[in-house]
Amino acid sequence: MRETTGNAPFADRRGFLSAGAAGVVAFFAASQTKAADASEDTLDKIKNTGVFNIGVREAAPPYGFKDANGEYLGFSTEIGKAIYDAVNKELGGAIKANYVAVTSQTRIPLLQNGTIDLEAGATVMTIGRSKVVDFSIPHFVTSTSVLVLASSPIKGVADIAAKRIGIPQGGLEAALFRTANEAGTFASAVKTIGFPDHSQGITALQTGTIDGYSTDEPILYDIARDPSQFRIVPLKMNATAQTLLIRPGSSKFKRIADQTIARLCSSGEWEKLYQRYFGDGGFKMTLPEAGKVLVQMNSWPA
Amino acid sequence: MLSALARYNLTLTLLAVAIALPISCACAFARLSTIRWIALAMRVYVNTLRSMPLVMVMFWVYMIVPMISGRSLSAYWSALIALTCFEVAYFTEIVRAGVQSISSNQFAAAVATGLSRFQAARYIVIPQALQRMLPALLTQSLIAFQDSTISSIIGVPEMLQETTIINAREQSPVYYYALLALTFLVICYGTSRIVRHVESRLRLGVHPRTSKV
Amino acid sequence: MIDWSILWQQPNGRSLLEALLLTFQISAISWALSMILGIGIGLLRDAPIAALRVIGTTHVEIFRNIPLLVQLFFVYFIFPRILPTFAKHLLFNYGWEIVASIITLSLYSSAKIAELVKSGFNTIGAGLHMAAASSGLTWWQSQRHVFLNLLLRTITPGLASEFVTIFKGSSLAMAVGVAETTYVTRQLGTETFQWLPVNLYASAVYLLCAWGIAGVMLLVEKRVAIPGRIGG
Repeated sequence: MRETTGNAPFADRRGFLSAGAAGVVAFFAASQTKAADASEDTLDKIKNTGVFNIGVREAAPPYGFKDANGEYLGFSTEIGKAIYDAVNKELGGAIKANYVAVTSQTRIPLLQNGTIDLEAGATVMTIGRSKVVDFSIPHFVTSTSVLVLASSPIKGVADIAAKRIGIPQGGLEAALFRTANEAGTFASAVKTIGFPDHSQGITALQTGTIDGYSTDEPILYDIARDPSQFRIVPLKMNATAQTLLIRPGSSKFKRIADQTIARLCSSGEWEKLYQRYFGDGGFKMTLPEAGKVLVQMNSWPA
Repeated sequence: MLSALARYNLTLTLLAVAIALPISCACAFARLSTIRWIALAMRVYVNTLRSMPLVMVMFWVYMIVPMISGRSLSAYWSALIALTCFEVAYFTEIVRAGVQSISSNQFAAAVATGLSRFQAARYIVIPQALQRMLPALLTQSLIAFQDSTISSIIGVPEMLQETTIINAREQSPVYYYALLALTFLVICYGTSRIVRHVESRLRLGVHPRTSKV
Repeated sequence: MIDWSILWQQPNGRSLLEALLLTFQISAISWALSMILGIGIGLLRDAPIAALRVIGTTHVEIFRNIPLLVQLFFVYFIFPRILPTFAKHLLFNYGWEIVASIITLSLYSSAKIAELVKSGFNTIGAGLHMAAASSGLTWWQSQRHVFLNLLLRTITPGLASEFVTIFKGSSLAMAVGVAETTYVTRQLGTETFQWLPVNLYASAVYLLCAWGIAGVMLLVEKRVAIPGRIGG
């Protein structure tokens, strides 16, 4: 029997030509994908449906996670809740909150097709993304640091020149190091290697296949609880502003979201949240300089 | 512990195989159908899925399904759907080969005795085809089991991922990865021996000239 | 909305092209290595000395039954530990990720090819073995002069499908950070949020290449086919 599984899949050319034709049709169909109803302001949609869908992260501590009882907690999640309270008050108090778990892959599609009205996670503001979604004012700022073994000779930014640094795949560290290499920030270019998951990066660090693992500081604090094994080297290369995502064309909704964040910052609530999730209650990460500036910038006078 | 997470690999594989098999039987007949567009559509599906890496299929499902259905899909369900669609393509080819090796005389005879075409297919041809292709089906299922580790790339906490996480804590990569490799070796080698045993036990009557049953 | 231009805007265009090149390189080198190794191991399994046969069979069973990803992690994380330091630095600076992926793919496929060789031998039949032996050829001579040619022509379809498998397997190199097609697809998707264009691009790459390879191999098959053989 010739046609068993061992054979090359496209031995019959007609089969492939049809696949190609189907592909072209699919491409055109996909290009007409229905965007969310861009004409409707999110606030009106919430008023009409009576439900406020909040997209939250369930596996990204401390921005968003699920606790043992299945409740959604987290720094960004709580800010999302605060926005819900503000929207609820604005619309008369009858709006229900619906929490939808999202991931970094699904946050944009779900926002665009209306499944969620706000994404409260750990999304960094980039120009590319701003073409697709609207941003609230930044609710958090982090910087990228490098995790090294306690015995490593790397002590500062200058030391990572010509080293192999692991980064998470699907993150923005790749773009960061690429730009830095091109601008000549390091004496010789840094080589970055992307791993699908933080645990693989840590394993690579432990076995010595990479010299350091670089991602957002809070995540490094989360992985590196043991100071006898690991050390965190701040790079001071960037300050990435993180934001909540909003559908384009929703200026009324965005106004409420921004005002909520401003109020949290000026009233001291933001700092309490920070301490609960990042500081004494969480990773023991002291508020970086950029964070203090963020709070000041967001504390709008009345 | 490692063994607790065989729960993900095993359930992924078993569910995917269990769901894919009946679908593949139908698809195999669709592939052989006299209605041109059905046969063509099946051929497109099978050829496309067999040419793509499983990682790509998983990325597709993970991304596309939320866009269409509007609901977020967990990594586990994405992996399951992707693996099922993937295995349907492979199983369809296997079942089709099996069906084609069953002489059409049997089909004609069945219809002549009054069975409908569907009944003839379901009660006469498919059981024999499956029996003939059992070794190939089992081998493909083994491959599916091995492929279930690929779901770690989209974040399913299955065996390979668990090993990496435990290793990040305990720091003896040699021990843990060797344990994982050994587990797979034992399961897959053991099953393939059983397949060979089954193969030798199933001596079916083969027509001397046409090699059809 | 859907923006196709991200696929060719710089620097995306350049990284996609480099990734494509890398995918091809990894697949081609792995295929060449696995053919050499696989045919070698396959011949070993047919050897007159029992110890060689056992080695061959062990190799095949180990690399067939462990998933590709597990093998990759093993090679990538654990292999450097047994090397002396200077070799380690050499490897790392050269690009250990890519080398590890090629090594793993070659080992994995060599087992499959060894199996192909075994079934090739079965197709050729015991008669030829006996004929060669009775003509006074040693085992090695008969392998080289009589069997190899016949064998390669018999298993060409299997080799073609193995190349496609290797091509698909190169996508797993992303798990250790090789910037090949699937990897940059994911990276671009995150940076631009244009998931549909990048996924379509990557799928097109794999589909077109699988078709291309199969087409080329079909031509090769027709030319080297042994007349009068079923499935040859």
